[in-house]
Amino acid sequence: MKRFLALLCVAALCLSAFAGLAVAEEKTKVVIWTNSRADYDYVLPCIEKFNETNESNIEIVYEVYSDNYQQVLELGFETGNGPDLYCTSGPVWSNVTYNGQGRPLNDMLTEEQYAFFGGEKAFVNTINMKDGDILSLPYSISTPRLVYNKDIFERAGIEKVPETFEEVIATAKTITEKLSGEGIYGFAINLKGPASALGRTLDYMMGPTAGLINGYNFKTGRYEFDKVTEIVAFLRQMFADGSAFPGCDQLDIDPLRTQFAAGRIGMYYSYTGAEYGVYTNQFVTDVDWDFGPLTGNGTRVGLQNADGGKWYAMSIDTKVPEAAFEVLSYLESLEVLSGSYEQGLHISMIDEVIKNSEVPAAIQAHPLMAKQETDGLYPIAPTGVAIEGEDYYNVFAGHILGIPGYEDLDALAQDLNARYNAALDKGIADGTVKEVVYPNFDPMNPAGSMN
Amino acid sequence: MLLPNVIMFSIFTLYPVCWVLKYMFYQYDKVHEPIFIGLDNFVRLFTRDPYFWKTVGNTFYYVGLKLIITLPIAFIVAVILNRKFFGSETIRSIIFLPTIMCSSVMALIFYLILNPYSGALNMILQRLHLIGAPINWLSYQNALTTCVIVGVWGAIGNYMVYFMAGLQSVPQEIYESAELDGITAPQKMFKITIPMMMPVIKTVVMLALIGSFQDMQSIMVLTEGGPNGASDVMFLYIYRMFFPVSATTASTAQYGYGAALSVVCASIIGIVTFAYLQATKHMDDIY
Repeated sequence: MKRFLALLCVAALCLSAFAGLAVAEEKTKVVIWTNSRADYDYVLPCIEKFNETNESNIEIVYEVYSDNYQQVLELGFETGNGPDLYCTSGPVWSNVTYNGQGRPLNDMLTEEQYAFFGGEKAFVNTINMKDGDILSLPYSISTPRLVYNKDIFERAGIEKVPETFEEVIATAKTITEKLSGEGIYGFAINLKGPASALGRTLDYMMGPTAGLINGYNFKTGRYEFDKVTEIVAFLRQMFADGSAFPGCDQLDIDPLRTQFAAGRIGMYYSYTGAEYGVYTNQFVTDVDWDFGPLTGNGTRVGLQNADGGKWYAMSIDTKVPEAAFEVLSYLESLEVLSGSYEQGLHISMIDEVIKNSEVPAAIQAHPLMAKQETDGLYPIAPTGVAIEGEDYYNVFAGHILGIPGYEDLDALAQDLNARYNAALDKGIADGTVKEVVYPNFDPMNPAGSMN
Repeated sequence: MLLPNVIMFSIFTLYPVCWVLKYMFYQYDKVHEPIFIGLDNFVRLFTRDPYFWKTVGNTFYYVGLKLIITLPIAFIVAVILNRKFFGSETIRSIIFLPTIMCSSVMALIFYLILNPYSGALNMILQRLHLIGAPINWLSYQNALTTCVIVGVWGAIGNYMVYFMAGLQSVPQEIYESAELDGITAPQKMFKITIPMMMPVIKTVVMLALIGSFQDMQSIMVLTEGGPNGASDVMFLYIYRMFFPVSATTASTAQYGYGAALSVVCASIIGIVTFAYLQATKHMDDIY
């Protein structure tokens, strides 16, 4: 009996020792969510390398989400299952990070890192900071351009890349007239999601043509949609001419890209930071394509807004801020950023990265991928404005598609002005919206005139 | 014994209902503190939001057309498959299959079939020379009806099972004695089967009515309620108040208004169901 008890004690001791070992070996998990699919093949080996070599016993769990990324993210945070780090590009910045989900990084960022990213000129309020709190680190710069199929242009006898509204309309018409018999159309836009479609056209065209962002004038502090109607009319004209690819009202951006990759679309608009990766890794194509300038009316009043200055944000709810920052520092290290830049997976805005990397083949092949002098970082329009009724994306998409009830563009713009400004005033009055007015705002120098 | 049930009921039913009943009087975007605004959400709903009433109209069109198509087909299929013949079990399983499929996956497959630029349906119709140019099944004019057809496809199997259960509950003795009296097949259907199944039909229609009002997943995947609200239904509109979708710009959750919409939509369904139950009271008196 004694021997049995002794054996039992030894077994129990061994078990607890093994359990202790198991606990000791348990890794600190840092969960990352992203909606960036184009750089997946590059990032994954980097993460695997980090997981194998880091000395802090950290394991990165990297999860890629497709459409509805913001909804998935918000749901995750609301239910306590959100990530530690998340990609904060596009609307996630203003809707999620800027609205309180981002954890300030000031206490963890070293002076060397601050200098590496570019110092004061790279850390800007509303772009990657909020009231002095650094919420994300500078990374890339991306803005839409005209994406066109050079083979189709050649076949249709078009020699000049169009730059103005009239030229794009004429080019789309020529391509469609000459090649629609083969199922090739001049122009396409992903209007299944009006916000996604007009977010990469109208939103960026209104800076150079009207000096506005999201219809908002930073100088007057008012929404002025009447100033963007010529852009909407331009997009409408290609539908009226029959130059638009059939079924644009049901096209998401990826199906549009697959049709472009199949050589059925002459032109569309999309981001410099995405398309090269898409056609190199995601929808590999033999189509000879290039970027042309974003279309305007020929008279520039402002820079073209560029989405940039941020990549990952840290969740305010993270239980492992130190580990998450170590991961963030790795992902934004010269080693990782330089590799990604050289492969054309992002267009760096960090001078140190550009200086220490070879000019990417992507930029050599597509020069307009690089940041141009006419590209600039704009502040963001007021957040939290609760609009009553349809937003401007839906309203203008209705006009572009020629849907009954949306014919009178001027009346639509006036109605939008009234509803957006009423919501803005109401939000400011009840404290849910912060008033954003820069009396000296100059659209030709947006980041430098925010005071 | 009751305690677990009471706890679960309180957490998953009572609490959400109380939450909605509270916040329908508030302006709340989850970022800022809720602001009490009295009945303004309802004033907005009834006087300043024509888009909501458009979604209500779309919902009634969707529900009406779906029920008109689904229930007769489900009933006929149930009657046919209620008899045993070679392959009947397999056919039943195939027809029931869409019911157990994830509705969003189902909608995604239909999107691949129906989309106007590379959809399989247009390709087949064109190869058969039945159409010249591709038809945009999801256009402003066609989107809602297409959503109904997808909804019908997903629902037939479910209601077929209900009807089969009802058919099997009709006593065989009644048929046997009627056959002795020389009853014809149509008479059997209209004089015995349907009258005997009235209580079942009544319940199935009520379930179909409530279920169809709440349909939104497949529409969300197939058209996202577009183009321009052409296929938007009221629960999808409410969903967007809680989870605003905007791919590139700021959009603000409106929890308070969403709560008010939820109450009004639940009332609409309640009123329709109550009216239906009142109108079909006599269907219980068949026995």
